Amino acid sequence: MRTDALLLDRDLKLVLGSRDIDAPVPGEVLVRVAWAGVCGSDLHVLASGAWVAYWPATLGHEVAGVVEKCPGGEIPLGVTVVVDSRLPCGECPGCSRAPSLCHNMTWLGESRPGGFARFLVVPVTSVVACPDGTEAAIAVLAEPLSVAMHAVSRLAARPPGPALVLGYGPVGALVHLELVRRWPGLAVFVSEPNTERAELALALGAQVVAGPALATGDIAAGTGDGVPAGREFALVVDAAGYPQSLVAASRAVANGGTVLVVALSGQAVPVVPSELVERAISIVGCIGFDDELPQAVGLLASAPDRYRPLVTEAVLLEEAPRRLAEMGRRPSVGKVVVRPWRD
Amino acid sequence: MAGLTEYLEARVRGVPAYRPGRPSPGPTAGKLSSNEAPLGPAPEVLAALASPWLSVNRYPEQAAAVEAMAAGAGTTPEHVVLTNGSDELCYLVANLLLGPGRVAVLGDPCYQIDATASLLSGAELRRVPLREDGCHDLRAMARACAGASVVWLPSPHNPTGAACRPDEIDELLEAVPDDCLVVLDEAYRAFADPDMQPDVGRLLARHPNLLVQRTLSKDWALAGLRVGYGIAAPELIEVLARSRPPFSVNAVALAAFQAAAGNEAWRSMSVGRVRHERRLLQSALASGGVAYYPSQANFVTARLEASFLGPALAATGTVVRAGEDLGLPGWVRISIGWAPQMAVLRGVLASGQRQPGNEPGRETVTTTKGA
Ligand SMILES: Cc1ncc(COP(=O)(O)O)c(C=O)c1O
Ligand SMILES: [Zn+2]
Repeated sequence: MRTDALLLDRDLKLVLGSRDIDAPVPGEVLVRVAWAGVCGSDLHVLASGAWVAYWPATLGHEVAGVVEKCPGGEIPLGVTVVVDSRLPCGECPGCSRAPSLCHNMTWLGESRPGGFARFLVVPVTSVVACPDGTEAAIAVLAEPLSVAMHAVSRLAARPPGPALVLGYGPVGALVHLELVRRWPGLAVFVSEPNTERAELALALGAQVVAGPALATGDIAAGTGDGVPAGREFALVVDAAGYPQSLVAASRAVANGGTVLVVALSGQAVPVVPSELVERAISIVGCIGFDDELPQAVGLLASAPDRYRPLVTEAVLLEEAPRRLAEMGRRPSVGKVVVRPWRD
Repeated sequence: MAGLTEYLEARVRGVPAYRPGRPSPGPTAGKLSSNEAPLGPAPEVLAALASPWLSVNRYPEQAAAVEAMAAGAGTTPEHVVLTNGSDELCYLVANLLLGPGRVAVLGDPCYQIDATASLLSGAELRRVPLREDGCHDLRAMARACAGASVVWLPSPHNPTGAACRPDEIDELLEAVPDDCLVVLDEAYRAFADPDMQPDVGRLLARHPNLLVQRTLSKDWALAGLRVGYGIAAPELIEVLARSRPPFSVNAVALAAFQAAAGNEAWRSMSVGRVRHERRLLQSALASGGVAYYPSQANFVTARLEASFLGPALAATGTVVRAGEDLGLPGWVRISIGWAPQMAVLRGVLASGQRQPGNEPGRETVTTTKGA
């Protein structure tokens, strides 16, 4: 069968088109995509062609849709589902411990056609059914919310002091909401130079630290950046990923505190071992998620309005190539979702 | 008993029943029929509503809320009267200033509550047709004010979304006789361009016959709790306050307002999103050749047949308001909703245009400043 789809070819031009997909066999489902979220990794692929194993590619790994065909009968037709985007190999030593630790991990869209398409075929084990009445445009946040939940799970306990989140894109925002959901009353500061993102942070209850401090790494100095002098951050989340953001994060963290790195940055940064030792700083990484997806679906379904402000833009299939192409220059405030089909 | 029935029938003769916007058949995000706030109120509001400090066994304490409201509006409490939704203010004004033998001036089409409150009082309505661009014809309204007691002036207007230019409002206030009250209803003020928001402090200082009407139903997202207020000279406020039921705004609504007022970023963010989506909708309408009133409010009214649009929208769980309800047959009023909802709506508009025979008629798009 054919499906409307966004196609990315080797020349890195994104065009509107259609592609063949195999009909689902027992053990698979055909999902009619309602919304597909745009992730930072999609933008990275659009700009670089990295990680793609087939051409033309159809990206999109944050997907919510409706089950249209299910030959094995495992899921009733018409049910709203979110798609699990991970394709761990299942055979490596990493996989034997947790899917997120796979040595050969690929993702939907990169190794097989993804969600920027009207239809998608995936194993039935790769979808999570949403409770009745769940809005697909909210459920589409399940995958990035799982990532945020998994990141926060890397912390052993409630941070004993305030937290600082560097960068308030969709991941920074979801980590913020997850921190205060898990530990109500935790003071969260946010450093974000984009004024609309900073406004979103404020609106969602964070305290905003002025942007310039970020660039100089002087966040903890309390010099006119809105943070009281002597403020010590028990946790600093690097959700910004600009060159040297990890350095800024390590400077801002209190002795004994944790730097949680969630943003992908390929830039090497200096590490001074004696600083880690003398200040007893932990630097913690995280990737993807393990078993968080069903719980994320549950949270989104039960409190849609809590997450609604995070979806800030929605584009139609025909609007998508233009908007996605310019997102590097004109970043979105929150999550951009694509409705990848035409009426 | 027949006498009572006849009397009551005569009292409401000509008063149209209010028809609320229909709910969406699917998730509430699809309801684009009542000009409500798509993101809802700030999280603090929900926390306040669940707070153990909210004592419903006590009569509401209004002073703090009035003070906060006054401060937010750049004035002091003696200039402010609190009302149960801003609609209550319409009834208070009609009660005090209208009645048999008195005249109310209003645009045509008008905001329905203004007409209803006036008609119920027994006053005569003098309707002044809107201009082509959906704005009030303020010169014609000024002329119609001779011998009138009240001018109802929503700006931005409902059902068109068009706003009066501040200099035109100035001119109107200069022209209206001192004994005629001008009710400037700013329900949608927050959604207007900054240069379309009149300096009401200055206007109030000059014109004791001006009453500014505000609501927390729109940008503050508290429509279900019913809070509004009026701003005017202390003498007028005192009379309005004396005539109102003393506790018409309940304790829950007051607590919600105070919580909402603590999160200005939420309001500003919500307004910014509405303005952004309004731009997208208007440019989709323009490129489809659909006529619309360039809007300064949280809705756009477009020349589309509800019978054409309705079924296609209903299939997506979206409901808009038919113009027939609003004195604009042949038009629909589309409240601005959450981004995904608005994309769905643009998709329906685009697919309607792709289907042969369904072109909504190539028309010149109304354009004015701020389109
Ligand atoms: C012009 C105008 N004034 C006032 C209101 C109502 O406000 P409230 O909810 O405060 O009664 C509306 C609501 O639609 C309106 O359109
Ligand atoms: Zn593996």
